[in-house]
Amino acid sequence: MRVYVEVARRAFRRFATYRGATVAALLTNTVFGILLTSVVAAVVRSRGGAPVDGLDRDGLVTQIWLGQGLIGVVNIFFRTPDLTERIRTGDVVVDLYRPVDLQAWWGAVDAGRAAYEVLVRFIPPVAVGVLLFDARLPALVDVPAVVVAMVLAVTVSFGLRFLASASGFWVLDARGVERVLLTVWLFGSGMSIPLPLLPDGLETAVRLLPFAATIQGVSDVWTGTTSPSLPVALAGQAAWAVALLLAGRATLARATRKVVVQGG
Amino acid sequence: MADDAGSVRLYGRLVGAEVRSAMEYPGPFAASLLTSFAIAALEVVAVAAIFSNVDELVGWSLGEVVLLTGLAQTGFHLAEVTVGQLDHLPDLVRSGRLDTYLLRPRRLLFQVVTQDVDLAALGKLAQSVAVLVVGLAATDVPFGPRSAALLVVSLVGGAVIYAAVWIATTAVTFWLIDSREVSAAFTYGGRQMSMYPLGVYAPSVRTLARYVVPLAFTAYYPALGLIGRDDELGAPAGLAWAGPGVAAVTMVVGLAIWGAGIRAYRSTGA
Repeated sequence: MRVYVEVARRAFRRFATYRGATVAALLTNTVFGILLTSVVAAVVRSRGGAPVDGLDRDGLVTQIWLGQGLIGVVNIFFRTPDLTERIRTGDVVVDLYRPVDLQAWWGAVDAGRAAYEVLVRFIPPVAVGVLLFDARLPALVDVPAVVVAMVLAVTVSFGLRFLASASGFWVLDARGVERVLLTVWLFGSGMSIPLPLLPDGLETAVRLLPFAATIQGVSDVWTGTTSPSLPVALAGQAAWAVALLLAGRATLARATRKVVVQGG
Repeated sequence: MADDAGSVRLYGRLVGAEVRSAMEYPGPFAASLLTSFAIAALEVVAVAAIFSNVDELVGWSLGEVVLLTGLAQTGFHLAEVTVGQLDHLPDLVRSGRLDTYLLRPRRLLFQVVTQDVDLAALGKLAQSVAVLVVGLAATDVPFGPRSAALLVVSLVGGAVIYAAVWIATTAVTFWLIDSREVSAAFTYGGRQMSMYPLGVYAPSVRTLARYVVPLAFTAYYPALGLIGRDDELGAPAGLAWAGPGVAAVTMVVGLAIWGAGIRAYRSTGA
């Protein structure tokens, strides 16, 4: 167990070296935050101020800035293609010789990365939203639930990204798979448009997919609009986390038994 | 210093080679075109979904916003097909490969944008043209020489403005090493902004889109001209035709920033 804690700690420090890229990413997050805030605010204004699915103007704006803060934490843009690269080049064979669990190793790296991103990518956009655009902070009693929801969101996102990387054992270019996943993810998570704004049938369908667990799920808990209840919502997130991690293990086991690794 | 006619011939051969290699595997190529087509469609779903909550957005109907989206996306994707490879400039700088580009007898900008040809981007372009056609039909834009001319003027102007923004913001790499996010804020952010009417935004954003980074000329003013609608924000009607002029000025500024960037460039020494 100790080795994974050490891996996570080193990953945290490694990501702390990319400061320039972080500042630039915050600029993009802020630009998109302002643009999307304008759109959802205009929607509520055009409705004469009537809330959408229990979310008023400030509730929708909260989700926008939460999304801009979480996008780096759940790493929708696959900014760390290390595992994908190692599978593509064949270096992953060396990793498989090591006396550690491959999935747990990369999970630990991702935990360290996410912890760092919470400090530098999550807090600043949310602070901008709260201070300048009337986004809300969660109710104090909901804070523990928000933390749980965020941990589950990162786990689900790791599960998705691990599967995308592992597809590289079969297809020549897993980055193509990642590009497709990225776009579906942006929509399905409620990033491009908060899911409560979708027509009800479509919203129900999109919420059944794992992508919703990464951003919309956290937003529901943060704004206190979980449906039907908070425990059910968190259980849904947890179910996806477990299912995706197990699917990742099964995929890896299959790959190591059957696939001829490239580049050897 | 540069043999531009030769460069264009070279580019033609590069595109030809790429097309021939794609045609060796027509199945996977068609699949990748179709995938990028379907994926680009998701963005339109998001726009259409907004209108399940409202009949009008700041006085604009669904059809009118779809037209805006079609104009913004088509201009953006035309620019992406042409200069999208600029996104790889940070890699060239970091790895030191840019130095070899500087030694060759071709313009640097030309070499950077032609290092690869991404034919799958044509799928996104096709999708945005489809959105544009739907938008034109939904808003009853009269079919005739005036509309056709305005459409061509708008798309060329829009593509050149996006390309100029792409060039100018990517040049930041010469000073800061990694410009990808900076340029994304303006290119992808610019497209996002242009998909909705200017009236949605705060006055400061509108001013920025009119006078500083003239994105209002990529979709908003052309859409007003095509629909034959007055600007509720008070701009004169003729602005729809100003796109190419504004685009030319933007490109001159963009290229000047690029030139200053190359002169400031220090090799990483790798």
